[in-house]
Amino acid sequence: MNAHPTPPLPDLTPQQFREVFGRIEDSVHRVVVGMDDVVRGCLMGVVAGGNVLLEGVPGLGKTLLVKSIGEALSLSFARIQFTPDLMPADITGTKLVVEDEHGGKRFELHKGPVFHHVVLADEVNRATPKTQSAMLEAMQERQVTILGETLKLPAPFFVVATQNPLEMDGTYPLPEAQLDRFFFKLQVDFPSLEDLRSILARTTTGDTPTVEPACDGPTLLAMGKLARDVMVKQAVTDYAIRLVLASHPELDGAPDITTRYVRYGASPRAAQALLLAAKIRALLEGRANASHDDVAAIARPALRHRVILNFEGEAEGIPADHVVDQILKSVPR
Amino acid sequence: MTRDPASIAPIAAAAARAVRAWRVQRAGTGAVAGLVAGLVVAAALAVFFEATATDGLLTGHLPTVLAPLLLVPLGALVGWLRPLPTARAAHELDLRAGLEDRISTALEFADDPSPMARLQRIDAAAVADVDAAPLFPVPLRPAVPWLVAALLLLLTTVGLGLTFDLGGAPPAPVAEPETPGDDLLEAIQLEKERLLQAGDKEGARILDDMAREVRKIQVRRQELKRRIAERKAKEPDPPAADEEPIELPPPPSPSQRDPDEPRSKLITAEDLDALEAEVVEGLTMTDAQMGELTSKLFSGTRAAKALNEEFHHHVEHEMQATVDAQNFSEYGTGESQQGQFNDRMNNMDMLGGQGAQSARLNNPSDIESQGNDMITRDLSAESQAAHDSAHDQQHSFNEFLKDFVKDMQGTVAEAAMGKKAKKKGKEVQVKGPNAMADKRDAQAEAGFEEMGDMKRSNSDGPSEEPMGGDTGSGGGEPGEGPPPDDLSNLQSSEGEPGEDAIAIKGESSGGQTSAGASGAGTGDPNAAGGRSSHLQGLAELSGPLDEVLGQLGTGSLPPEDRKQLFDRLARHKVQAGLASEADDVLLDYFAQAEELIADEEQLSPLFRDYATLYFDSIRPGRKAARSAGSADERSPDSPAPGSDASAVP
Repeated sequence: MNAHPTPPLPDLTPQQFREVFGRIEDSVHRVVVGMDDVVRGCLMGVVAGGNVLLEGVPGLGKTLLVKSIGEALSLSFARIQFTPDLMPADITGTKLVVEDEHGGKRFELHKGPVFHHVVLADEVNRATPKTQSAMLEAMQERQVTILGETLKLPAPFFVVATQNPLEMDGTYPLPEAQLDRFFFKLQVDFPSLEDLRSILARTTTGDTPTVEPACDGPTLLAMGKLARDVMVKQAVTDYAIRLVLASHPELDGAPDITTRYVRYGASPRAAQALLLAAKIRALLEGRANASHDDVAAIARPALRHRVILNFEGEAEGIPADHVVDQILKSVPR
Repeated sequence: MTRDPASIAPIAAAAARAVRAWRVQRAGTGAVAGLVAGLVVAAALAVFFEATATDGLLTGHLPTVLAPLLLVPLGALVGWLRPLPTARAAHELDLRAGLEDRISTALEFADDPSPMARLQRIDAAAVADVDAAPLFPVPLRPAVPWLVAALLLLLTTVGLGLTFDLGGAPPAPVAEPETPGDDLLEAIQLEKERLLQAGDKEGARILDDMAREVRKIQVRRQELKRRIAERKAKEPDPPAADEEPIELPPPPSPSQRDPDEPRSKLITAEDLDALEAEVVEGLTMTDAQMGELTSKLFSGTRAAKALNEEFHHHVEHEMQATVDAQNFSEYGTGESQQGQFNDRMNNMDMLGGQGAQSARLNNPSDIESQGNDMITRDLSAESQAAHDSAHDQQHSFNEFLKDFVKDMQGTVAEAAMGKKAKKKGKEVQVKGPNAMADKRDAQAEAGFEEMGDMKRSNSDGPSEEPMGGDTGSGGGEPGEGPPPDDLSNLQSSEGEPGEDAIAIKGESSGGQTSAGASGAGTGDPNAAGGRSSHLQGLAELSGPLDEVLGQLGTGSLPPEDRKQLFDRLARHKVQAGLASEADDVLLDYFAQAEELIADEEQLSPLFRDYATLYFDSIRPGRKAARSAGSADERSPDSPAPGSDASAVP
C-alpha cells in the first residue's frame, strides 16, 4: 500500500484559524468575483475534509472557483470532465505493460486525475453510475483500488463536483448514497450587477489577477483539527440531531412540511456535517463554542441535498431549501 | 493577586443574575395572572352574593374584595418559587443577550481543562458582565387586555349590584294586619260603656248584637281563609306541557319472550302459500255470491222493465191521445184533411231525410197514397207493435245479460286464479236485434214495419236486410211513420245499413243505431240533426229520469206521484218528439245496472271495474254521443263505419 507521509501539523489558535481562512478567501476572491457564500462553503468543506457539490448553470465560474481554491491552498488540482463514455480507469488510473531498458516487461502504474489534492468533477452527473462509483470510493475512503492494489489518496483531498440543473437529458442523476457523501451542496447563483462589472473589469483588461498561495496542506489539516476541538454544548448537539430527525417523515413529531413533501430524511452524516460546519463557523465568528445559530446558519447547504422529496414535493416544485427552512422554524432551540 | 481570566466565577455570576432576573419576571407574571384571576373570582363572588342576597357590602362581599388581594401575592409567590435550573437560565441569557451560547457552554464545560475549553471560558467571561434584569421584563403589556377585561367584568358586576341593591338590610316583612273588626269591636265596647253609663240599655243591647255579628263575621272570615289555604295546598302544580313525558310500552326484551312461543311466528313459506290462497279465495266469487249477484241484476232488470213498461204505457197513452186528436181533425173537411196530410208528409220527410223528401216531392201521387195509407192505418196495431218491439229489446238484452254474467264468472275466476283471461277480447254480441229481426219481419208483413224497425240494425248488410237501423225510428210516433211501401226510401236516405243495434264495444258503429233511431224518431230531416236533437232531449230529460231512477231503489214514490211524474215525462217526450221507447228502456236499464254495480259492496274490485267498464262501453248515451260526435265530424259522403260488433274490452 502506497501511503503519503503525514507532515507534522502546526498548532493553531482560533485567531490564527480565522486569519488563515481569511487569507485563503481573499486570495480566491482575487480571481473569483462574488460568490462569497460559495467560496466560504467550499473552504469550510475543505477544512472539514469533505466534498462539495456545486450546482449551477454553465458559465458562472465554477471551474475557476475550484481551480482558484486549489491554487490558494498550494494544492495540486485536476479537472475531470465527466462524459457518458468516461471509464473508471480514466479517473483512478491503470497499470500498463512497459518494457524496461533490459528488455523486461513489467506493469507500471499510471495514476489517474484522482491522485490530486483538489479534484474538480465537472458535470459529474453525465458519467455512468459505474464511473460515478469510482469517485464514490475516492470521496469517502480517500483511497482507490487499481487492479487489486489499493492506493491512498493524497491528503488533504477533496472533490468539488458540479452539475447543471437545466440540461438533464442524457444524465445519470447521482443516487442518494452518493449525494450523502458530499459535505455541502452549494448553489451557484448568477452574479449580481456589481459582480458582473468586476468580472468584466478583471477579465477584459491586460492586468489579469492571479491567485496567490495563502495556505498549504499541513496548515489546512491543522485548521481541520482545530475545528474539531471547538466546544459544543449538549443542547446544540441535540439541536442538530433534532433538525435531522425532523427531516424524517416517518418519525413522530415531524413537521407538516416533512410529512407532506419529504420521502427520505437526512442521514447521520448530515448531523456530522451540521456539527462540524457549525464548529468551523464558530471559529470564523471568533468563538470557541458552537451555538444554535451556527447550526442553523449552515443547515441549508448541509441538508438540502440530503432531504429527498417525494412525488408530491417534486410535482409541486417545492424547493429543498424551503423544506429546510420550515424544519428550522419548527424545531425549537 | 490577578484573577484567572478563564475563571468560571464571572460566568456563574452572570448565570445567577439571570436566574434572579428570571424569577422576578416569573413573580411579576404570576402576580399579574393572580390579579386577573382575582378579578374574575371577585366578579363571580359578587354575582354569587347578589344571587344569594347576602347582607352588606363589607360582610357578604368581603371575600369579593379579598380575592384579588389574596391571589396577587399568591401568583407572585408561585412564580418565584417555581424551579429554575441555572443552565436553563444561562441558556435563556445567551438567547436573550445574543451571546451565542457562550455562558451556557462555559458553564457546561466549567471543569474542562482543555485549551479550547479554557479559551471558551475566557471568551465567555468577556461577555459575562451583561445586565440580565432588562432581559427579563415583567410582561405587563400582554397582560393589559386581560387586566382590563377582568376589571371591567368586576366593575360591571359590582356596579350592577350597587345599582339594584345597596347592601342595606332587606325590607322588613309586612306585618300581618290585625284581625279586621277588632277596632270596630273596641269602638263598640267603648260606645256600649258610654251608653250604659248614660242608662241607655236598649242602645247597649243593640251594640251587643252588633258586636256579636262582627264576631261572627270574623269567625267566618277565618274559616274562609283556612279553606282557601287548604285548597291551595291540595292543588298540584300544573305540569309543564313540554315536560310531560310520553310513556311508551317498553319493547319486549329477549329475556321476556315466552320460551314456549314457537319461532314459527315468523312468516314462512307455508304462511305465504296460505295467504296467497286466501287472497285468491277472496277474489274468486263463489257460486252463491255469483248467484246472488245475478239475482240482483235480474231483479234490477225486472224492476227496470216493470218501470219502463209502466212508463211506456203512459207514453203510449199520451201518444194515442195525440193521434186521436189528429184523427178527429183529419176526418173533418176535405181541405183540412189535405192540409193535415201535407203537414204530415212534411214531417215524414223530416223523418226520412232529405233524400226521401226529394223523392216524395217528385212523386205527388205517391205522397197522396202514402198519406191515405197512413190515415187509414190501424193505430192501435202500431202502438202494439211498438210495445212489442220494446219488449223484444228488453228480452234480448236480458238474454245478453245472462251471457254476460256467465262470461263474467269465467273471466273473474280466471283472473283471480292468476291465469290469462281467455275471454278477454272475446267478441260478445247481443243477439237481441237478430232475434228481433225475425219478429220484425213478421210484423212488416203485417204492416207493422214502421214500429218493428225501431232500434234494429242488421249485421248482415243492406243486401240481406234492406231495412236499416235508422229507418225504424218512426215507431216513436205511430201516426207519423212512413208507409210500408216507402221503407226502402227511408232506408236509402238515412240508414246506416249493417249496424248493430247494440254493440258491445264503445268503438262499435252500432252505437249509431240507437242514435240514428232516435234521430229518426224526432222527425229531423237529416240524421245528424236528429241525433243532436235527440241528445239534447235526453239531456233535458236527464233530470226527471234521474229523479225516477232515484226512486227505484226505495220504491217510496207514491203511485199518484209516480203517475203524475210519468205523465209529465211522457208528455214531455211526446211533445219533444222523443218517444223512442227502446232508447229509454235501454237507458233505464243501463242506469239500473250501473247503480246496482256501484251499490253492491260485496263485489270484488276486479269485478266491479270490469262490469263498470263493460256497461260504460255499451251505454247508449255514450254511443249516441260518440255517434253524434262522429257524425258531426264525418262528412256526408264518408263511408259508414263497420257493422260488426266489437269485442269485449
